[in-house]
Amino acid sequence: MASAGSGDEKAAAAAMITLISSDNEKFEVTEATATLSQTIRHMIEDGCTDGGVPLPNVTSKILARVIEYCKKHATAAAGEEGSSSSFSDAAFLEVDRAFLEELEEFDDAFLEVDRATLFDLILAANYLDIKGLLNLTCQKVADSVKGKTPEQIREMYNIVNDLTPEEEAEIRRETQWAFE
Amino acid sequence: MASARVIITRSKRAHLAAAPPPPANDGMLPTEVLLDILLRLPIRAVCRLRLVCRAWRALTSDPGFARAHPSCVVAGVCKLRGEIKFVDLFSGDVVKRVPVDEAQVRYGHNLSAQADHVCVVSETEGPTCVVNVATGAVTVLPAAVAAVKRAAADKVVKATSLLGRVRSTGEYKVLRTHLCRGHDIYYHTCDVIALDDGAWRARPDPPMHISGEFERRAVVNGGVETGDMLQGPFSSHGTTFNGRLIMFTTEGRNLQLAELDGCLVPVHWNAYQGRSSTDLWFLIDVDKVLWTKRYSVRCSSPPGRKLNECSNKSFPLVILDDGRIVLWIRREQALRAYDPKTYTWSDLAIVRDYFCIGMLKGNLLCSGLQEVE
Repeated sequence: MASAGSGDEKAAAAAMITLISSDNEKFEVTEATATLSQTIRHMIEDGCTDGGVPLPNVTSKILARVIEYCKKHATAAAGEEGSSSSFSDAAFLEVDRAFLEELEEFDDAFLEVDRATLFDLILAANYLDIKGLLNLTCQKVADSVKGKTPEQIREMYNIVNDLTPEEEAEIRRETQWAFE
Repeated sequence: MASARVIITRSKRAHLAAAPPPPANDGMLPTEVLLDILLRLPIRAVCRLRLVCRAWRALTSDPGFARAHPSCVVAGVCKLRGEIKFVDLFSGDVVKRVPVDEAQVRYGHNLSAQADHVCVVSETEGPTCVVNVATGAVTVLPAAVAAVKRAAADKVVKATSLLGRVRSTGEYKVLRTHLCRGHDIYYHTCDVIALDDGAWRARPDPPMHISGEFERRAVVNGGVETGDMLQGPFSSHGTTFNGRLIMFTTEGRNLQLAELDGCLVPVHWNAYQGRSSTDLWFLIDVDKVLWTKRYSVRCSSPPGRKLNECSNKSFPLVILDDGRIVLWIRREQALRAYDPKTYTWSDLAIVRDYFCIGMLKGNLLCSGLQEVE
């Protein structure tokens, strides 16, 4: 990725924003891509993005993935805006559908990561307030948690069982139907 | 969200969360993200995962969590076994079963639900049972009393019950109406039982002839309303038990009453020249008795079947937050959602072998949690 340019270059590419990861790597992205993050959108509105946006909670590895997601979805959002006025037009609907399918495939492939990366993506999406990415990653975790036993969950996430046997019995009694 | 961590149960057992839970966090995800994830799980999984640790239990037992959880549960009286099944609308999973052998369920049984109680209603003189969904306790109501008849020789032809809940006190009551036959006259009577009390009390007779059909009744805001079709040309009327008459005109004979969004909704099954729809009417001005057909649900015909062959009897159950209307289509044994904005249907779940289906108003995640008042 290109590093942040001088003042002259910045004027030429007025809509570019520089994001700086925790390990000090610089990423230049379009404003349309960056504003998928509500956090960055507010910073742009407040005019405090000169000299780059430092993101001390996000590593370069994760930031690269987040930007990959935002680029893809920023294009999608632009496409949607362009075609929304022709909602009744069958041809446009067809294009929309193909595009949505492509986007879904992208999302599926995007989620093919190990658990640690997935958690880092969630934390980044939460910090940067990127609704779509948070939704996507949280759903992925929810899907993986759904069929697991409490023991498996504790093992997966290093959670210590602090419930007493009495409390466990109580939980089973309260919602007995869930354990049948 | 984190304020009230008390688990409310309907039982008398004074049960409070013993100690304040540690920060509801597994050490890796912020609480709000963990909540976001847990809210996406089906209710059965949520309840099982309360066994993970105290923090998860506290998070998922919070009334705020229960309200935010998007679960929507229908209750159905099962044809195959004497039990009520609770089905998650969105997954089709049976999340809970309560045996009701006492009710001797058979054809003609119906179901009337309020908060976390469900009443299994017999159309004949069979026993009527009320089930506490949280505890599974079944209360068998005493048999009909002679007091509802004007003369000892008269016969009760039909009795129908409805479960109501007094909003101010939270008390459950069952209203039963009887169609009685004297030697030259039919007449209606009714009585009421309070669940905690156990004795029927005769109430003043309904001010008009009311329908004996369960489907022509609805409970709105805890009170009972009945609708009755006149046999005259395409008109019908309903009344409340406090005697106010509401005129209601429709262009057909097929009518039922439902409660949607806290409103009394006449549902009109309309079949005309091969087109069929289920029309939902809302009262928009009580004083002027002004009704509007807010939704006209177009019949869903399965592919390959002609429109006029498809069953037009679909029973509206609930209007979802996204505006879709969930209907039970009895003949197709399916729960479907109809989007009035796009006129399209989506399948929710297959529900085989039920005599009847009704919405559960209470919340399985947090018993005792009432609908927002």
